[in-house]
Amino acid sequence: MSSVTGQESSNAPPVVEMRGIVKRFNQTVALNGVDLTVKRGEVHAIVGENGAGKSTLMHILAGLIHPDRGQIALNGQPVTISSVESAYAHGIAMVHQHFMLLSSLSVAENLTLGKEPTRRGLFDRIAAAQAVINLGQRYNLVVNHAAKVADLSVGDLQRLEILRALYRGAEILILDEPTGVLTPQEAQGLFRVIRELKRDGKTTIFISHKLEEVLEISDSITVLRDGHVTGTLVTSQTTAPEIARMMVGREVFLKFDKPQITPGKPVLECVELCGPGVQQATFQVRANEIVGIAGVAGNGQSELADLIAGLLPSTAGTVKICGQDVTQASVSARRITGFANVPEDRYKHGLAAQGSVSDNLLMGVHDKPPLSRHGLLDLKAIANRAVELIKSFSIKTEKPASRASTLSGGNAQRIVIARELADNKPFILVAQPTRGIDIAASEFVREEILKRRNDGAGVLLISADLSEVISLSDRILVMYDGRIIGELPAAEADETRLGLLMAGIREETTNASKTA
Amino acid sequence: MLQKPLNPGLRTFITQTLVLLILAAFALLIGAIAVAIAGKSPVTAFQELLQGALGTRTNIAASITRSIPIIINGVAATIAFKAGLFNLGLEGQMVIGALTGAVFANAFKDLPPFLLLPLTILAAATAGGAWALPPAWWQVRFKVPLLVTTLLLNYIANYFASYLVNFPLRDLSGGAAVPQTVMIPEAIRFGIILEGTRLHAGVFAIILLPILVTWFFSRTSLGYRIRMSGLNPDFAQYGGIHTSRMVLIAMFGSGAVAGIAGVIQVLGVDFRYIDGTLVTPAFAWSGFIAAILASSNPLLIIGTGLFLAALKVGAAGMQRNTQIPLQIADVVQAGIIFMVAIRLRIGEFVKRLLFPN
Ligand SMILES: Nc1ncnc2c1ncn2[C@@H]1O[C@H](COP(=O)(O)OP(=O)(O)OP(=O)(O)O)[C@@H](O)[C@H]1O
Ligand SMILES: [Mg+2]
Repeated sequence: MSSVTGQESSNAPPVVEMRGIVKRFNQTVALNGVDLTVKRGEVHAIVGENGAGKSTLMHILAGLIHPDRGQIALNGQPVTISSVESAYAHGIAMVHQHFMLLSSLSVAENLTLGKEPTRRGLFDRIAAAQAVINLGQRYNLVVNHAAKVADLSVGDLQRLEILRALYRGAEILILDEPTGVLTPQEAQGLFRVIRELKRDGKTTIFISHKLEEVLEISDSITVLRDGHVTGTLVTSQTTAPEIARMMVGREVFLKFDKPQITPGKPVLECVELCGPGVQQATFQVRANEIVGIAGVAGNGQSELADLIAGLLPSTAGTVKICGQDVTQASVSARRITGFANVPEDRYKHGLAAQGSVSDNLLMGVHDKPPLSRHGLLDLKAIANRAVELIKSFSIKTEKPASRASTLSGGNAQRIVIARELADNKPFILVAQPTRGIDIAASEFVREEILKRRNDGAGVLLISADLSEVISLSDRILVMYDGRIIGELPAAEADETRLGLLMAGIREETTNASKTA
Repeated sequence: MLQKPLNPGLRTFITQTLVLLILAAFALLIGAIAVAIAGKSPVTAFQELLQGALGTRTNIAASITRSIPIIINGVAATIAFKAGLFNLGLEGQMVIGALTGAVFANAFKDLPPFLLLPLTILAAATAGGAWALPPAWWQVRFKVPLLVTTLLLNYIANYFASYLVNFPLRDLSGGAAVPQTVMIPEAIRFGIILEGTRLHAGVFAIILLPILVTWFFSRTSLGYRIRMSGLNPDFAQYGGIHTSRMVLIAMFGSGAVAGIAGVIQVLGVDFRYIDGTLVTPAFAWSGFIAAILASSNPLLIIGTGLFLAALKVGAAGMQRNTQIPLQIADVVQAGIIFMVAIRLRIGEFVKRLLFPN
């Protein structure tokens, strides 16, 4: 285990020094004596499994929660960070795993909230807009200042959160799984911003489950496991397997085998399906088959998923699930035909954060015997199922009755995956299955999806992670501008071929003129 | 590394109890200040208040009697809360329910009592529920905020009911000055269950309804669907729940229970619908507050409702004996609401004071 050794500024005190931090939530010890040292101007990554305590540690630094024990020093000065305000006063700002913006306000209003520019005592709209534009230009973070937050894409939301932090004068920027919700392209954009910040002498603390990203962007790394620090590393002197070993405590294999199976009957048939953002999608998913959808985010994948799920109305075409025409059917009718759905936006569609873990695990099967008969819930059967799912998907929670909001980000995601992969449904729609989930658990989730396919389910997989699509799928469809513009057997797919298709360049035109 | 100074569960319990006590103390302090400003002795005021609320058997019974409409309204508010809705129209729904009940009982007075009583309650519940439906529909269909429409419909309900008992439905026989309907048949009036007091059989509803509603939300699929729609409508929809339907059902249920609160007053206290008797004492509002204080746990509403009722009854006694205006009770009630609003802050403060590090 290598340790961080002082480089150029060895005698300057570290910008952040946390010592012996302990934090307990009821029975859970989230942090058990954690030390963290971050040097001025560096990009410091924090990695660890779901529930290791990463967000909790950062919440303490950002003043959201108070440690039960431990000291914090900034630039060598001991400090007490009693609130978010006091963290701001010390130049610390955090961009959360789940955004915390007021969606009815405009970008400019959100940006300046808490430190509004005023003119004669009133909110100064023009100055606020100017602030967005100025900061945006300086750091290459362009967001339309007049837009309503409710209308922004996730990437925009994140840029806004970062702008907000910078506007408040942040010197230390904490990014909690910022790339989890971004496309690979957007992630590269974020990294450019981080490098820009670094040039400005600002410090970034970065949480991620994607080790390639950690290796790419960070200078040093702190590894957490179960509330303990299991390693502090200099990025240039380590490798992904070494980090993974420290995180998990064993070797992680990112390979699995996929037996060849002849696909069975179609479980999903879309014919000329049209709707908002989707044009004439025609394809099938058969039993014993995983069909991946690749595409740059925003090319209609999310809408296609919503059309299939019945969350968006289609304008033309048909959808059949397990042979039944469900084009006009309600969501519940679709679910009854045997359809599972892991939605892309887990916190919006996949969970009720204020509901219990058990409530969350019941959704979609709340009218299904034996869990529910004649409108009456069988609490015993429901509890048994919950306990079983919590166990088989290793959801880290104190008890089934705990609120979902008390779970770590990745564990909350596992609730959704566990619920939807349970009960042997014949057709499974999964969007971004491993988003926010640590490496070991991602491996498990992929295996689980594969197992469902081997057991006879048909799976439609939408993922921004190309390597995930390639390794899991039997066939890959590529979406561009709302259309399915190509199909490849997974065996013939590689990142370059897919990349071209995803950019809207069709096979037959690649050799001729590239005018697409 | 970790020594355990105190079991964390115990720690939370101590903190919470202390917070509640501090809350009560603060609210009473606000009341005391108000009394002092009015130039009276706070000590006498509170002695009289306590005496008025719980001093004698009669007073205790009066407090419990008073709590009946408050608790039932609290339960009604909770049903809407669970669906994520603020039903500010409890008052109108209660008035419509009560009037419908009174009219129904008189119209079918020849029915045998064992049929007439449940049908009267059913009619009141249906009317109260129906009165709550238009705002639900407007919200679902046209996105008009229910919070506003329910509140506005109170005025319409009150004036409409007032018109009806002033003119077409007015009891002209006794020559009474008060606009009221004729009395309901004696056979269906609730009996007094504690001799020498006015505590009537309607009191069983304050135990029955909270239990029923608790059961409904924890044990039925419909209860689950309503709760999930309240917690996250997007999630509920994704899971196949018709959230619009849940809004309609929850509002109907909430209005129906408010209607029951109204008809129980008719059956147990007034024996007829009397203009203004349900509105003036602000039963609906107190019920709403009882529900908020109880964090919309129906069983806790029994406690908070009794507390608020005792406060009101006690204040009335205090006014009789000391000339301190009974509005002091409203001041204390407002103080409590204020305290609840900042409860979380106190909790954090107390915890850090008690257990630094
Ligand atoms: N408010 C809370 N109440 C109870 N337990 C909590 C609360 N917040 C966090 N925890 C628990 O503390 C532990 C650490 O959670 P934390 O959110 O810090 O994990 P994390 O490392 O960020 O994980 P992830 O990668 O899944 O986001 C978890 O077991 C979690 O359940
Ligand atoms: Mg986290």
